[in-house]
Amino acid sequence: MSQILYTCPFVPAEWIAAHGLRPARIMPQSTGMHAAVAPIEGLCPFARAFANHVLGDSTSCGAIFTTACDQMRRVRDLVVDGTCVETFLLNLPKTWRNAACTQLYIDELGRMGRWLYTLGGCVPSADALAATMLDFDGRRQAMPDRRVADSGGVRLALVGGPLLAGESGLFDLVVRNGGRIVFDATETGERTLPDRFDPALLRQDPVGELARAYFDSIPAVWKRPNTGLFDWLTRECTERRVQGVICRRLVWCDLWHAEVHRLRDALHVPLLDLDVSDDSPAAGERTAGRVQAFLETLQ
Amino acid sequence: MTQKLRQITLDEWDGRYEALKSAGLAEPFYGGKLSRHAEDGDYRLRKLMFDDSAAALRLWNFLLTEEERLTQARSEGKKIVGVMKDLGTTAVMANALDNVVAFYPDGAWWIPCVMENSDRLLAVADSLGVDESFCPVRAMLGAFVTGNHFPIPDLLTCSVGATCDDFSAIAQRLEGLGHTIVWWEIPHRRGPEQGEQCVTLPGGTFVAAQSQVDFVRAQLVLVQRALEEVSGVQLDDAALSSAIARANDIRRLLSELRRTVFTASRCPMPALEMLIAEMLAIHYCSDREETAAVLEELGAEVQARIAAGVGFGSPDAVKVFWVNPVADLRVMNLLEQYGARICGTEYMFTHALDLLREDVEPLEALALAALADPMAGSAVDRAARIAADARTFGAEAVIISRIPGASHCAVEGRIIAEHLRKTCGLAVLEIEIPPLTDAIRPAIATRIEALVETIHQRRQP
Repeated sequence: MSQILYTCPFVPAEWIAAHGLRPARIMPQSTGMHAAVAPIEGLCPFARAFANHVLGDSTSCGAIFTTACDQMRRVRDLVVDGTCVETFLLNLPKTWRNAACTQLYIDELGRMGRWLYTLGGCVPSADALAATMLDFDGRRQAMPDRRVADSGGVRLALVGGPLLAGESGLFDLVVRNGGRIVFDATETGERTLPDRFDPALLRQDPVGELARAYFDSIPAVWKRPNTGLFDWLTRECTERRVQGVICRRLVWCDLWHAEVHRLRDALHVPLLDLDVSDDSPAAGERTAGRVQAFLETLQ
Repeated sequence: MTQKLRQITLDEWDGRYEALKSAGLAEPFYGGKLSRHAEDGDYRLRKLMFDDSAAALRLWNFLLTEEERLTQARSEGKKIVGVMKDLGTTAVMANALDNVVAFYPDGAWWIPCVMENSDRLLAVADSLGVDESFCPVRAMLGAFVTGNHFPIPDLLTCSVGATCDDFSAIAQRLEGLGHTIVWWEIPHRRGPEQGEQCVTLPGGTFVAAQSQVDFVRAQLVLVQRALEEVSGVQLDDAALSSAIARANDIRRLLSELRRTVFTASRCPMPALEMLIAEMLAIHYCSDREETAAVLEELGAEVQARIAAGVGFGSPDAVKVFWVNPVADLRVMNLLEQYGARICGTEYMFTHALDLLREDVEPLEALALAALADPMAGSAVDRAARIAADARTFGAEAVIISRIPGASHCAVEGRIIAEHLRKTCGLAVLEIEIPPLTDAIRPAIATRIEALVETIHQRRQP
């Protein structure tokens, strides 16, 4: 089955799958100096890593970029001429308090569907789409609930943008230093899971329900205003008795960087502002030192 | 042999001012010596070189007295509207209302330069966690906190969507500080799909799907309602159409001024004054009628100089097309000091210079203009517009000034440069310009000098 690459959580995997293609959400490795897209001052390491992943891929038939942030919107410009993989830019509205924006998201899904069709996909019937959505929903519900286990340690929330592949060791690093991440509110974590589908709404209007579960429900730093993100974080931090927050952000990510102060004020727990340039060993050592010191102060 | 004009210093302007007054110079209400602005804190003026005409004096005095006009408007009971980011669209709407004055708080990004950081706006932004990794527009945050540079607006609007992350993030921080914002959306501009209705946008280079125009038009209705609410006056199509017609009057004046200056055989008006003149188109510096008068006087001065065969610099000055606004105004002087002149610009607001359509509904015309924002589309799109304008004005080289920290500058410079080299064969130079360039002035000068030398070599048969 032909594969479609993407990384933004606002791209519904069900929508790709319902078109008969295989969704592949990428958590890219950061890339070195000699990659096709070289490090540039000001360029987000994650956007660069995703661009290089797409440029290095010769088996997928398409890659989806989104306008969630300016860096990802623009990095697509670097990719279009250098790859045999077809690219698509999904326009994500930044505002959300008017119906026109949800409708724009729905229209964009339609446009994406037509693009998927050109790549060999099929046009799903409403029933087929609903069945695919229920299947994905069921699989998401089967994921382990991290709220249940309580194995001790300082209870931390991990907040921020998307993690690079080489950063998965961050969770173990926290454990080794006497802490525990009780919820992952990064772009690649549970914060960005879509809401559960409503079976009744699903039968009436599956695409509308897809938009509600994704666009209307996922809290995001780039939404304007981003009160939904702060409401969600405040609620979750309280419910999960969080004792500290690691705000892990990539350098040059203005969207998260600008919010660090507000997070400190809003969450009322100690916060570590962890800026990360890439997932190299050198960056890892710096991260380890900072996390260790943070946890020491909380114990 | 044509006579060479000479730019003068701020100190020299005092003597020149007295001479002009003695010769009967009649000034508008905001007139006076330029040096008074430096005494009030605009220290950068002391390091700039100026055009010595009465028209330029009026231009500078007009620019540097905007805060007074805004304060005056408030004292007269008018509503102050801060229109953020869209650069040229919502200001037209706001100015359709007699009891509203609109301005762009974005303009605060020049304050660190003009005041040479003496007002510590960047330090205030730093203290809020918005440090030098952001674009200098972070000064706007400091300006809102200190309240020293403009009256806090009665209404704030901000376009988001296909905008830079810096501005969006900083505007969000503003709202976090208690300044309510009416957000509206300009999506990333895209071409039409097969079978979809296509529209050519003002300026003639960009196209968009009609569905995007319809969407933006609906977004502008949100702005329209907000303006009606704050003003207490209905903003109907007749008022909007009239405002569009008057905006076009300004744009025509500016268009003619740019065409005349950029295509003259010898530069009749320096780059710095032309940059200021272009900025007036965005929101008329809070006084539309005066903007028209200022531009008319500049135009007359330019025509007189051309007729007299006088100009600045050498007749063989290298013709440079400049991309992006400079955070430090002094760099515009530097370009000319090293044997170049400006022949074409793209300061990120060409959509505020292009004529608005008057043959469609007013909100439709404004939506078309908003979508024509060069920053709303791809960098390749933007490069195509730059290429077309560079050809029109006969530019020989392009300088792209990087804005430190700006999210769009990380990759767009490379894309624009490659496109221009490939399609036009133009020499392209990218330079980062911080708000104060004094420490790196020799390095910038060396790069400009190298570009000028390259062009001179290219000219040789």
